Amino acid sequence: MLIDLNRCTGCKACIVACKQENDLPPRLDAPPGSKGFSYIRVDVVGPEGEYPDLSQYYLPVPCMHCANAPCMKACPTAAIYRRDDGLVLINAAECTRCEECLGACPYEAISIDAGEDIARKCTLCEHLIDRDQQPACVSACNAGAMTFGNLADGEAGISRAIREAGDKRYIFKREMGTDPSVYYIRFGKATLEKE
Amino acid sequence: MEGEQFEVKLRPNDMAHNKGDEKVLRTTCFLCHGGCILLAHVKDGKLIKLEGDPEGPLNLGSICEKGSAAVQYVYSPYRLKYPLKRAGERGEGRWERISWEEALDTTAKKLMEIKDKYGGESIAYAWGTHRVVHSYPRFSFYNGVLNTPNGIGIGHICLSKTRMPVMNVTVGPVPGAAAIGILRDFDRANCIVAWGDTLIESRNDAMGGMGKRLANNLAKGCKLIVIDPVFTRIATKAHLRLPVRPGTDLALALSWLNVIINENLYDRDFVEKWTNAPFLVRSDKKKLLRESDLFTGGDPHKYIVWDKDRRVPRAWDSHSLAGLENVDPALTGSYGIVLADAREVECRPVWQVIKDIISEWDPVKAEIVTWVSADKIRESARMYAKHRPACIEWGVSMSQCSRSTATNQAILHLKAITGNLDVEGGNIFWHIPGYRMPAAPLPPEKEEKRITGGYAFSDPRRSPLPSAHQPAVWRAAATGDPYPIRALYGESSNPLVTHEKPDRFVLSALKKLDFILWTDITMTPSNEWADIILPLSTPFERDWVHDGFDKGIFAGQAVIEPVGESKSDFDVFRELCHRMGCPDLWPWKTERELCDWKLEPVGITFEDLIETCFYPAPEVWQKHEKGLLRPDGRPGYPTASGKLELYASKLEDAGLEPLPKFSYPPESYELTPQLAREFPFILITGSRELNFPYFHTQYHYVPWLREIQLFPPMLINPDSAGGLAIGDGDWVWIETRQGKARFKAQLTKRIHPKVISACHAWWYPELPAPEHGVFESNINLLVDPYGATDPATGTTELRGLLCKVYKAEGPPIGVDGHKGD
Repeated sequence: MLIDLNRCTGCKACIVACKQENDLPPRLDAPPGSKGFSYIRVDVVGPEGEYPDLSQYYLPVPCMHCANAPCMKACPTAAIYRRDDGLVLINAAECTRCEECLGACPYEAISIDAGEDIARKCTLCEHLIDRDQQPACVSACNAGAMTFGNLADGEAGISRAIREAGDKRYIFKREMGTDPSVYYIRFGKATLEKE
Repeated sequence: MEGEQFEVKLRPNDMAHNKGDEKVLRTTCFLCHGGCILLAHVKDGKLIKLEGDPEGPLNLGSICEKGSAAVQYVYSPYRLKYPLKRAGERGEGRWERISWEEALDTTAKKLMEIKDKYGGESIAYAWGTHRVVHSYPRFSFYNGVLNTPNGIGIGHICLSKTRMPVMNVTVGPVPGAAAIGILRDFDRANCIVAWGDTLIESRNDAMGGMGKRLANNLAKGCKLIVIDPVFTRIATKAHLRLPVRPGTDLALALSWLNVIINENLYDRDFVEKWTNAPFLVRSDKKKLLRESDLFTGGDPHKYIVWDKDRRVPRAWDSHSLAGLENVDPALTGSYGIVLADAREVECRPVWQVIKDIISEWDPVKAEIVTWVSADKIRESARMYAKHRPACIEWGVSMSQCSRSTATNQAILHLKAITGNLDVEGGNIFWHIPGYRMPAAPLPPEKEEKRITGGYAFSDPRRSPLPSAHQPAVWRAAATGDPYPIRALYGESSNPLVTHEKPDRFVLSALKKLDFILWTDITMTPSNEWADIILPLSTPFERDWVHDGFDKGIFAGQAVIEPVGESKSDFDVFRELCHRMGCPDLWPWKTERELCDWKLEPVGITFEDLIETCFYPAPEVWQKHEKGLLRPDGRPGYPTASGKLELYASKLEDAGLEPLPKFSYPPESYELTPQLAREFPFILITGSRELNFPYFHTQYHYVPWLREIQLFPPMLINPDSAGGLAIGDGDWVWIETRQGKARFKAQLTKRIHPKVISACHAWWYPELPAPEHGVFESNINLLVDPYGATDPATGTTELRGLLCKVYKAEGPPIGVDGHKGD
């Protein structure tokens, strides 16, 4: 995925679209001791500066579907696996809810489903993309900030957009070496992030 | 706040989700006034998913959080499933189920009784935003069957009755949604001004999830100016941000006019040719000079200009729309004109009068009043005027203070003189020729009975929206002054939450009335006071068409059968019209028939329309040049003079200020310094930023939405909060002279240290009936609709009040973990 932070307004339409698509329980119905979960969240970075000269941007964080996924390495039962096309998925049947993956993920992308007693996370809407449709967050986005596509195809729209982004291309927590499949276009006015 | 344990217990939803064989139907959403076209997935008659339609011209495939949560809304356990009659005293919260037959029979009988005994005017109707009702000729029922002029709502603090009069007196009663002046061409503008508007959180109200259209245009280099005391989501994208002091937008607008006029950045051709800028105003009476002033028997519909070449007065004839061919009229200067009584009176062109007004608003003076630097004022005014076409999105903020008319007028002047009215990329007038919006008229003698509160623009002869002045009607219902109200038809309205100062007259009125009918989708604190409640269906269960969104006509179709025994308002009105002896006023048998009837002159059927759910309005701009604004088809505007009236003769006729003049907020450091000692903060209420993700009082019971905003928020700067020992997440009281309410504090640098922002429309569906916590976090307890109001529209002061803030002992009982003793 490619997420353009200049377009994102932090409106959270992606979060609710994801909940609808994946049937995720709202926090309000979550069992006691659980906080419910999302597959995607939107961080608010800022405000920096003093009123009225402020800067702020919004950072949607789905699962990064890392090529070098720490969650996979941490999972003791090999419940977490990577598909040929790059998707990192949790096999619910093999999950023992040991919660090692939660701590291993630098993006805090994994949650516990206390009802089912397993770890769960973003699947990049596997069931949709296997039918040549877009992930729900991408379709829903109210600012056209998200692009989904085949990074292995150099001529795909997403690949061209990432190349064109040039030095505006940004990888979240690049220093962790996870090699994510989610890229960002840096927010133009922010002073906060470093490559 | 993410990840905290919390104590909001909503009734659990039970929605079955299957992903097997499903049919996909196209429809338009009406959860707000957006106009997003969606694809509804339906399996076995059940709605299982909604997604955006990529072909939707407004949403371009996107869907907002409300649309994605709509499956929870449609199948919400909070929905009313069958008609109810109260069992016990009114307001006890005890109900018994009855049949539709009984409900309608009782309602018709009681309304007819009350109408016969006390007159139709003793029946008031309260209307909310509806899901959907714009489609319906419901005024046929209110006007033609009930014969009541007393329709109430929040029009006087909303676009509808604040902008409509300003548009009406300036450009005249233009047809279609343009009458409210809400429309703008985000796609093709070179500069967009978000003036007192959050754009993102308020994407409803004819915006159609416009995020994508806005983002696309910004990516192409469109300039964005954001005028807002708070640094909002859209402010993060702005090229220029003007942190205006609440309640002083009028000064800012006058200062923009100062820069634009003095630097000659306006469209001189348009101003000279199409506006009444050259008309002379007499300085003795401060009125427009008319031919009837110049000699006995002169025509009052002929206005006078000064012919610069021949140095004589000349007349513009409003009947023939002529008289100034080959005349170069003066826009500035002052001229001595001899009147019929032989006195010479100094007269100035309207444009000169405007220049005189704005001469006091150079940016340096404006900086002191508005808190926006003079440099920024100049830079932003020039940016707007020079990057044509440009559009101003005027948010509801300016329409929620006692200078509503003047502020909106000044902003409309900016749009007009810069040549941005009804041009591609500007503030456009969409219109669908032929589209029918019927309504039976009110019997003329009932006009006299309208409870207007004395405001000129509660009178439909001046404002196209036929309703009375809401605060005055509640007072009548509670006190009998000017005459008693006996019954209420509550139509998807929630006045105990949305109407001002509801603990003064609204509640006592609801206790007193002889009969109350309510139609609604869920129980609310307001309809808990009804005698009969009728369950309404949602937009996804109805067939409808609407021309009030951007770009054209939209259609929605019923993708599922109504849930439970709920019905559309269409059915309710039809049944009542037929039971109350007026079947001719509601001849259509189904909603589809009504839709076909409305569309017929356009040349399409409902069946045709729902293929795409959209019929585009013709793109014909500068309609004033083409004779498309006036009913007689001649070029010009449908105003008294035929010109765009910068100087509003209709305001002059009503004895009101015809041009915008500044005054401070009635509660302010300048005007009420004593009050400011006890109430040191400036309060803004009702910002859509804090109403997010709801739509006014709706959807607080939808779990996926409630978890985004669990409790009623208020914003306070951390420096100010520190001084009051208030921490992030603390519950606090906000108090004005009028009253107080409590909110959960969010400390943020995004707001000025002297400003407080508090949400509106908050109630607690999960708290016990009948109150549902209606007066716990209700910002309307803090305002005064009987105090300082706009002289034309009766608009209440909702923004720019003085308040104080202090820590609360905790939340209301039953909220956020507070169990009480």
